[in-house]
Amino acid sequence: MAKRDVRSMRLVFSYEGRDVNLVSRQSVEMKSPVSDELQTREGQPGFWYELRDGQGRTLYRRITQNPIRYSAEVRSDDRTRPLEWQRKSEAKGTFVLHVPELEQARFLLVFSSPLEPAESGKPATEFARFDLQKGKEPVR
Amino acid sequence: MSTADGAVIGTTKIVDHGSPVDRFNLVLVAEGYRQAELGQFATDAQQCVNRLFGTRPFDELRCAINVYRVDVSSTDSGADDPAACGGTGATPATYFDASFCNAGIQRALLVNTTTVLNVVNSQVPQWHQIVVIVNSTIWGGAGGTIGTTSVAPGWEDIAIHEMGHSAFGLADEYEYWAGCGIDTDRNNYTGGEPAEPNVTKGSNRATNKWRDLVLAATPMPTTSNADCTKCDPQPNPVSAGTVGAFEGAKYYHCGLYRPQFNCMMRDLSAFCAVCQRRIRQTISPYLADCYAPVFCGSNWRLVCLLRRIGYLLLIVVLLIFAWIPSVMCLIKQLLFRIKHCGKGNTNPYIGL
Repeated sequence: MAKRDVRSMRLVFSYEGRDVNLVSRQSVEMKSPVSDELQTREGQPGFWYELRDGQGRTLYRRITQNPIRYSAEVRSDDRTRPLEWQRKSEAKGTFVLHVPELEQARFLLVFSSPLEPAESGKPATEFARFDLQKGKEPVR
Repeated sequence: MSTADGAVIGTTKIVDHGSPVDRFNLVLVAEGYRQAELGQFATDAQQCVNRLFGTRPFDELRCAINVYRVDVSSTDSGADDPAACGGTGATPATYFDASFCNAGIQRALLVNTTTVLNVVNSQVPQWHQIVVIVNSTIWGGAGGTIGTTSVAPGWEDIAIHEMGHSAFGLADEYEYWAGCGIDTDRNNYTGGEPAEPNVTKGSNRATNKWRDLVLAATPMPTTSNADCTKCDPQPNPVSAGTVGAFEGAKYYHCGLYRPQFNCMMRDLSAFCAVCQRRIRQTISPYLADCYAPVFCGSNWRLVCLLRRIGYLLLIVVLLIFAWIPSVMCLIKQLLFRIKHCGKGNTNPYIGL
């Protein structure tokens, strides 16, 4: 039986501090998470990623927790407050984003508030941009 | 401390609700289990599944989710426990090289994510969320799309909480960062409206982010913190489960509100109504609109042959009306009956 066209891109990134690199890109026959609302989020804090076409129109957006962190959430010893955050001595790691494989999609943009925990309420700005029709290096 | 220290034994689909192309696929991976301990891993994985599907709203969304168990054996049990963080100094030889004490944090338990990706990409290419279960009873874990957790008491809830962040974009609803009485810069939130759906600056009934869930009789804000230099010590003044605006959320004592007094994203209790809604919005698209029929198989080849012929004739007739969704579903169910005529089907959750 013919399957619906539900291809997604799995994008694997490495980061060290503010440097984010696209390590691999894989096309997979699977459904991506649904898009959040596409209206502008200018001035809002948080973390999200977007697909945009060549004209800069947003095609897909997903809000999620910032995977690029100077801190880690860990179990605390307090039963009534079971979780807490601790500062990391280094900020590096790997994260994965799933996005729908859209024909018109040209760029992947990552937006983030400043990474310092105390500045998480400041507006998110463009953190990294990748040209999906070119290589793996960030455009800027 | 590498892939030479074990082997990928295989993958079992422990919750099968249909094709991975259409479902949300959760993958549980073994780390630090010796070959003889993989039975324990199967038990731990099942425990995680039971907890997940015992948690609202996953109980009602279970048909949208597949769960896979990837059995990986290691030479030794457990994870590295560096003495630098006060650990035992143990360095067991494990497949994904799990270690506590990452970036100076004793309970930050990490694995070699490149190796995890290589294994899971080949075993379950359609994965959405990976949780690596590490065979250690020392508290530890890490969030993210490739999360890790040890099997210390209560680990299942922490794994679900971390999925709340990585799979559903939910914010923490607790009002401290390092801890109540420890933070000195968490008194008043002065930033913009948070992007996450379960925390807000707005306690105004008319404009609040989740106002459609707030009853007219519920005061807004529902609680206010009388001393913004501290975590709010007051008990819940309204009945459990009431949706309102409770001051103290996302690491701030004041200025940010959460939807309910308790929540999985605050204290590992049940998800609040707003978080449940976000989870439903994310997972519902993975629900099938058509499910496999439950029926008895037949050991008699002639019976099966006759049934198959009958079903095929019926399908030919129904094809005229295949544009009607319910008829298309019926055709899929008949094809499923043809394919599984001999063994039948007892699982009502297989999406077609």
